[in-house]
Amino acid sequence: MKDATFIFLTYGLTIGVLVALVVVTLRRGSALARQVADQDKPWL
Amino acid sequence: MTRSSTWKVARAVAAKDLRIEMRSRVVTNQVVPFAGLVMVMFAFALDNDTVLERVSGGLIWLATLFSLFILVQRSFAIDTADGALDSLRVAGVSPAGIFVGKAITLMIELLLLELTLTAAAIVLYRVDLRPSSLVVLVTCMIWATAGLAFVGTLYGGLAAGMRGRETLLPLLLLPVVAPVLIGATKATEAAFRINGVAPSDGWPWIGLLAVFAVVFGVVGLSAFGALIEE
Amino acid sequence: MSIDYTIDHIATPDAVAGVGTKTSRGIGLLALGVMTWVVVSGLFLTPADKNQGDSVRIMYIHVPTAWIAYLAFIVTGAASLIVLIKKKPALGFDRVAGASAEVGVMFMALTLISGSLWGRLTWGEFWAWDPRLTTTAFMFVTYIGYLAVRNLGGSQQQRAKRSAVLAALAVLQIPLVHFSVVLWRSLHQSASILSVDGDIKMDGLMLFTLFTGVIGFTLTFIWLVMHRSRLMLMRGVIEDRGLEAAIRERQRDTAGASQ
Repeated sequence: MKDATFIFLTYGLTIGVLVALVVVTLRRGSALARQVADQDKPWL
Repeated sequence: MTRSSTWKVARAVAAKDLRIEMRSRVVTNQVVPFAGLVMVMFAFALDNDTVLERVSGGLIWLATLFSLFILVQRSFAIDTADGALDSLRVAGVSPAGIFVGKAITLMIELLLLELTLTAAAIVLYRVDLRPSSLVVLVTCMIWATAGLAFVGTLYGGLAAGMRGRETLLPLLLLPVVAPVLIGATKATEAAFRINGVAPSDGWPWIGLLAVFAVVFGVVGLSAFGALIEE
Repeated sequence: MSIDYTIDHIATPDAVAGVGTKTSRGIGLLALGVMTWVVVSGLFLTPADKNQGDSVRIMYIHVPTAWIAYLAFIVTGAASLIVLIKKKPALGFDRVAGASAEVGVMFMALTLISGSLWGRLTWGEFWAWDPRLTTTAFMFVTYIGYLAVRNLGGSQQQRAKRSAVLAALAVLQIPLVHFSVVLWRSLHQSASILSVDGDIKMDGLMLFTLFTGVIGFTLTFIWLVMHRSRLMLMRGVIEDRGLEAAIRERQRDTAGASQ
């Protein structure tokens, strides 16, 4: 593939950032969820 | 609140701020020299008479914008230092009046600044300003200054009393005032006849400046109250 | 508050340790599936373009992220307007506004980077002063300012109102900026609107991949906003709980001192 470096860089960066964001969000979610009682969570 | 009381409040606020300025002379003794220095620094950085003359329009307004932050901070520091803004609000004084009053003060200070900067440009950058261009130049200044004053007062009120507002205010203001920078620079370049442009070419840009000023004037009148509220 | 949060660290040992619901999990899994397909298709299944060659593959990243960035901006604006209009503090909408802005900033950064890389491949330059790019860069900085304001506020209500006004101002300011930049660039003859996607002939699979890319990224956006607004809610609960505990401490102290 021509220009493969730039293309893979773009895909890698984008997916990487999104995955990282998802992971961080999930981790922080579990940490906080353990500290808050279930009845204060309106989505449950 | 009736129109007359808003205006009365505005006059009182403006008079108070201007009196403070006349006593402390911060704008005349610190901000204007700072802006003048910025103009000199530009000359060092650009180091080319032709280039300097060509970009002089932009440089005047850049120096104005940098000074705007200082002026806005000062305008609200006066009031938040001793909780004066809160006292005004609690006393039920019309927020719109405070907005207009502070904007008027800011506008007067800015106009003083811009006149000085234009004089500096004529002297330092050898700008050619002819009487026939004065109408365009003055109209441009008035509308650009009104826009900057409204926007500055609005965002100044938003950042007032917040921690870190010295660094926050430039970050918030610069994206917003970009249209003024573009419009005022182009109109000023027209007035200075740079690149063979005629002064009359400045009018569309003055139109942009006027739209900006009207939009933020109206928005400021309505939103300012919500901003300084607790 | 109904629960006595006197124990500082763990409120209830058997609280659900997760923020997901059936809906959010469903959306998340769907997003994962769609995105995987989009990446595979974008990189390997779709053909190269006649004019641009393989660099067109960046389009499947750049266009959807741009779309989401603008969408997030609109969501923040709309949610903020609701906060301003409602008399009672609409903290739920404030959280959506904030979460959408956080995610929007991310997507906008990705848009600018992918666009820059694509531009480097097609025009040979990392940047051009074209109105769309410039306005996007401005939106990015505006968002960052908005997030900064959100992080410096006082009470939740104060923060909500201040941020809401700022977001409403941003919705006003962005079209003004865009219009000014369009006027500005229209003076320069050489600047035809340098859109990277101008000269691409899209065949069926390309169009389909682009379309599903938009769907995949949108689902990701929705999942992220759902989760992050729940995070904000929990942080708010903990913050309030900390305040209440401090107040109770103070009351206990003064009660003890007066004895």
